[in-house]
Amino acid sequence: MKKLSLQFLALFLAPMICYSQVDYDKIKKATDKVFIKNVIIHDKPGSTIEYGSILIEGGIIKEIGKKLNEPNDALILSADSLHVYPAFIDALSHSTIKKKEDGDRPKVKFPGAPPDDVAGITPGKSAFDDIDAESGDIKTMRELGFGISHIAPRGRMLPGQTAIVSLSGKTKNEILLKENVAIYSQLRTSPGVFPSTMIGVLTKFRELYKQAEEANNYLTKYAASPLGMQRPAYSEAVTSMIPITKKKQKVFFKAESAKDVHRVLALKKELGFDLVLTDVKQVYPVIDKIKSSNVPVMVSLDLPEKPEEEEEEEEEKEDDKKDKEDEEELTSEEMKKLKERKAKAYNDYVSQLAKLDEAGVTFGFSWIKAKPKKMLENMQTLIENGLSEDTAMKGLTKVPAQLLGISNIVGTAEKGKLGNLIISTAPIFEEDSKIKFMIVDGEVFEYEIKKKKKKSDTGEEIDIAGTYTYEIDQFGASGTFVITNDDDDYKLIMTSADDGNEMNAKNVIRDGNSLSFDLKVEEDGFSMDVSVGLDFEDEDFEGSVSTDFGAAPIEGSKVDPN
Amino acid sequence: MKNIFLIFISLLIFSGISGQQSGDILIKNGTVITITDGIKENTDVLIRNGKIDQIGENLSAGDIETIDAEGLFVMPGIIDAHSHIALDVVNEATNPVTAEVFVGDGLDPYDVGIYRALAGGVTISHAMHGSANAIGGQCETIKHRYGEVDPEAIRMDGAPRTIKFALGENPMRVHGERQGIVPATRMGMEQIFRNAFEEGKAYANAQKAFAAGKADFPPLYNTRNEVMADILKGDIIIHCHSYRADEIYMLLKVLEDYGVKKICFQHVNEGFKVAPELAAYGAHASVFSDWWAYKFEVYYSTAYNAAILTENGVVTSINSDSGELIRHLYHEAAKTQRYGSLTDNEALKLITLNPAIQLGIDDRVGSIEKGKEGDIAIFKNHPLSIYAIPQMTIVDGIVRFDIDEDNNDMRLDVDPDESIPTFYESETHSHHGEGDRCMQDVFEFLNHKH
Amino acid sequence: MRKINWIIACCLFISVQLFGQQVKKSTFGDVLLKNATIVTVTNGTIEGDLLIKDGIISDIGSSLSANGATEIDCSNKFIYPGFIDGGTQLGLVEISSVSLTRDSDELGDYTPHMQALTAVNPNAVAIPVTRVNGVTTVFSKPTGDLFPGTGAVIDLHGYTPDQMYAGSKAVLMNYPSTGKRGRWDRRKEEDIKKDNEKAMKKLKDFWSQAEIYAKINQTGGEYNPQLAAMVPVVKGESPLLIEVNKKADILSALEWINKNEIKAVFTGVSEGWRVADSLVKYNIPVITGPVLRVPSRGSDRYDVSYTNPAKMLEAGVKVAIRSNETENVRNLPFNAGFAAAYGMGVEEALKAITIIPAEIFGISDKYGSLEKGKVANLFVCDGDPFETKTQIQYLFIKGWNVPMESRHTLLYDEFLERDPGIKE
Repeated sequence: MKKLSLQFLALFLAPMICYSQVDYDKIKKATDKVFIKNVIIHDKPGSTIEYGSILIEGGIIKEIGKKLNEPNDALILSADSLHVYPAFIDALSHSTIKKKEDGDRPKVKFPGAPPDDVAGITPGKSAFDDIDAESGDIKTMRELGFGISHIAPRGRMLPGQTAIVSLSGKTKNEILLKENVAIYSQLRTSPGVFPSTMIGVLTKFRELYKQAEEANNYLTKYAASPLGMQRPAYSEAVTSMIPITKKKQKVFFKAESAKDVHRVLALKKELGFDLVLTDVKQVYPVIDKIKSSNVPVMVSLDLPEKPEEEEEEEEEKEDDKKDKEDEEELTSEEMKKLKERKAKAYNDYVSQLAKLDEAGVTFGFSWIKAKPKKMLENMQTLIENGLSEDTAMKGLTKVPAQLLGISNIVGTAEKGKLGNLIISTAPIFEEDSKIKFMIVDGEVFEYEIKKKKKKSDTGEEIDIAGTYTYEIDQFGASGTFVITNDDDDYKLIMTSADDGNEMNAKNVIRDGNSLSFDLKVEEDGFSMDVSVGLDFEDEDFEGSVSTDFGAAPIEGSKVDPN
Repeated sequence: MKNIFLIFISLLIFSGISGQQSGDILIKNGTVITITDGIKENTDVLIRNGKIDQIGENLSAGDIETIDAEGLFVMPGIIDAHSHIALDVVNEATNPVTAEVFVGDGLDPYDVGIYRALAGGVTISHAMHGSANAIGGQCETIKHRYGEVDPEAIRMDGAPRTIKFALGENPMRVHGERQGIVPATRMGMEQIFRNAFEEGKAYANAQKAFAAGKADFPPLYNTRNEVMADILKGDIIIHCHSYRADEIYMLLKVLEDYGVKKICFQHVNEGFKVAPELAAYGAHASVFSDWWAYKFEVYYSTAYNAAILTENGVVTSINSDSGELIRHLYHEAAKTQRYGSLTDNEALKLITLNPAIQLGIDDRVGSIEKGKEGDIAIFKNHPLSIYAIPQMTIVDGIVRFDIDEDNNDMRLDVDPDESIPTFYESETHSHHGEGDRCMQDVFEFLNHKH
Repeated sequence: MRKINWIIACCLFISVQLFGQQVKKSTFGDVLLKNATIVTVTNGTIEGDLLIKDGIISDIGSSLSANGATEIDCSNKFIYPGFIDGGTQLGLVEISSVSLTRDSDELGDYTPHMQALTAVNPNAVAIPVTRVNGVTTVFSKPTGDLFPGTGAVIDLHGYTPDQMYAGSKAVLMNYPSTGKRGRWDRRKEEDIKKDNEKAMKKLKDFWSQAEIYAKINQTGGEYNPQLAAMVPVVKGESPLLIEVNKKADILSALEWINKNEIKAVFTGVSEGWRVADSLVKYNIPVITGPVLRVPSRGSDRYDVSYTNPAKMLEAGVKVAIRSNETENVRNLPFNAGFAAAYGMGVEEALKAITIIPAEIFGISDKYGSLEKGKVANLFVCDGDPFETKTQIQYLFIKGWNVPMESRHTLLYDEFLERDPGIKE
């Protein structure tokens, strides 16, 4: 019996034994589990879990909440007190899509009737075909906080079908999440052949749509009963448009300017397809129209440059020179008026999203034109000008998730959803916030944080000796400590406010204006080793306290010797 | 009753809040040039809800915007039957026949050219497709409601559909000469028209067959043929860019064969050579005041064209085909008194009632009559005098140009990234210069070697 | 036999009259224009007579005696000096879309020696078309590139260029522009700047060569027509006509001519109103136009080109108006009319197309006004020649009574009542 079962086992195991490769050039992951503890989790818009933990297993969020048991077989991320957000979702871009070379196109005898591919009319083509799995876009987008991209092929007016990809993975198949999600369309002409103008594009779109409706009609009847009916001879372009006529697929239509938004909305009104306005740059003149049309909008963060700040007293000489130069173009009064107009225009752009939000329009963000690298910077500008952080966050997560029909697996940090997370050093939209970790599909990517040099770090060492008060909010602890400097030998004595216990610091090391030391805290007969790192600036300091139970921020200030 | 009253009031208020497109205005004491009913001195014109409500002396209208037109001339807003302002695209030059495109898809309400036209008393223009193709795209009649930024808001709703045809050198140059496809000669042009009409006819017949149950399926939707069929039905007015007498004559015969009556020839520089034929057919003519010699086909033309056509009974208008000329169409019309001896009213008709007839909107505009739309141009000095200075231009009862309220930079929006508004040198010879856009977009198209 | 011959001869004579083109010829002879309102331009308006003798205005006064001159009663009519257009390509371009009929733009940047007078076609169809609107004299100029050539002032009558030449020539220059050439010019700002720097260098190099040549003053020796053409300009004997429009370019041009002590006239000058003070400061006469053109910038007021001449004049600039036209030079009076309406006033606008261009081209001793001793370039009309309603009855160029006829009028005569008309 034993022999049989062994043989059976061997048979069963044989294929595995025969075909599993031994490859020592690859590192097999130590563990599939990731545990993040003591983080501030912004799990969904309007909700925060203070100092909670997350367990990711098999790429899925297994557990999320406060006071989770730390597993002993998971990778523990040192992300104490950092901020966690659901990873961003790019509502539409050309990430990972190979750039086409606009080389010599085939000569066409009748430019008015070119083959569909020359004219850029390929609504049936899948983005999958053009994915470059080694594209640097994956890394770039991920570094900025994106976990998922909705991608469209490059091309002319109807480049093809979009796909959803995960920004981690090595092969096309690993990257691909979903294919043939929607149709991408843009008012981009085909130079030298029809449609060579924007009005040609619009008219061709209309025609294809109507032909698709007819084709659908015919094909349905033909499928039911082909007897006596001519064989259908519709082009691929036409048949690929059928799903949008039935509203089974959305149309992501790029419309940058307000004029283009009007045009595309008029087209939608006429034909009736499910439209998503994409990459809209100039929103402010069309807010009402968008609102009443009830069409989702993906906004472009391609903001204009901030106008120069004028009249700095110190630079008077340069100013005179500049003035003279300026005067050479227009009169100084004209220049003044022009500057006012430009400033107003700039203001219109940067406050437009706040207004869009006020009007109650749901919007997300797309990245066809705007450079994602400037995203956080631009987002800060918009927030300064009235955009609520919640709305910004929603636009980067929940809204695109819902739009793409994947809100059941991404968009928020919830149990069961994909392990797509951003871990940042401070609230994500804050100026100095940096992303320390990205988790995409459960895979962890760590980023080096270059410590920002403090002002006092210019070589000037401040005198840190003195008496300080301290506060550790998380532990509800506070008190005072005294630093003494005896010929570069630093000593620190900490006194807890609760019980007046004095603790002597060990291993006190000073580095520039930073101080690190260890303490043994004894409370109620309970003893704990604590290590502390402090950064001093003028009269204040801030830093963190690490214990076995996690880290916590500490801050305080010097006490006036009087 | 009370309910109706409340609804009425709320409608009024509501129309005031949303982009109001028609207004109330009282123009007092001007010399009113009605066009259809003579000149009325010291007369008031009252406009309510964008329509001319009353014309008479000492009108009173309560508390509405009032303009003192004493010593000024009040005439109907000028209409330009051939223009390319307010368009982002003019020519889809890829095919000799592009009836399927529609310039109305590319309206640009931000074009400061609209304001400059208003500053010349022009309230309506016919935004046309260019002359690169034998059969070009459909055109749009627009009202100069400058200030509105929704392209829909400048359309003249209800104006008849129009389409651009082009005879002459341009289509032959673009297609025959540069692309090696028919038409390269005027013989080829005739066949292009006949072919397009036949295809439209066949399409319409196939549709009829389906409607009558004689076919299982309608012909596959084809925008171009839909439009050609509509032209055959008489639903679309053809505006045909043309020069030589022989090609004008050719088109008349082709149209006669297909029963198409609604035709207005544009430029029609040699129209005077076939004026009797045009008059007999009922064809209209929209001409330049004095452009000639820039192409061979206009080498044998005359500035007396408008006068000759008018004297021969052809409904004639003077157009600009230029962002420059549109600004002083009143002066261009006046040239018919130098090159010809048209009366004042005949000359002014060339830029008011006649272009309205040619665009099929003469029931609504083109003269100052009760019931017509409140489109008015007010001048200091008689509009036909060289010293005429437009003071105010009103569209649908709303002042869209006021010489006293001009802020110099009248652009509707400004690009915050633009350092200084660009300076454009003028080209050394006019007509082909900054004004002419009849062949816009063609240069880019032809130079895209593929 | 004789009778038949005589009949045949008669028939032939009649047939020639019927089927030959009824073109009138201009006639030369003494003419007394009587009882007119004479707008002299320089000496006010005089009611009286004007006597033309041997191609010259021999007398202006009241009750002049004819002494054998043909008498023309001009009661209720006006006499004006023939208009002078300070900038055209009249006679150099027949049909602008047919390249081989365009003779105004020769290849090469440095072609100041190209003579417009050589290429002017005295039989250009546009010439009669122009003069019947009262324009009797024009400056016809080459175009293109940096130094396009030497333009010439011509009277619009004569069968050879020499017969037409009015005694003044000028070397032209197109100052390198920092603006965009047109809406189709898609160069970026940096590229425009680079192109401009290149062009400025070309200008400076050529000018220094011209200066050297003028100093050495070669007579005989190696043939160098380009530099030879520049000598009068370098020596200050004749002005350089500089086409420049943009404010920054005008200021740069002023700097350049001051540095090199060049006597100059600026042409175009569409942004002259922005720099009028500088133009006055350096005493630069200006030939501006066309007045009927769109503003150069989208942000400009709609009437900047209409008011430009008036604004410059107000600041003290000497302003002449040109049409810059090829086939429609006849619109010169209307350009002046618009300038008059928009601030210049009729009197000054009239000067801008008569005496001022004459002064600028150095021919004011013979042209530009109705004065005893000046060339008989004038016309008789029934009103203000700026007004379109006015008709011109008689036209005189250098004393020749020129028929009021052109291709346009002949076509009018033929087709007003076409015969046969429509065939039933």
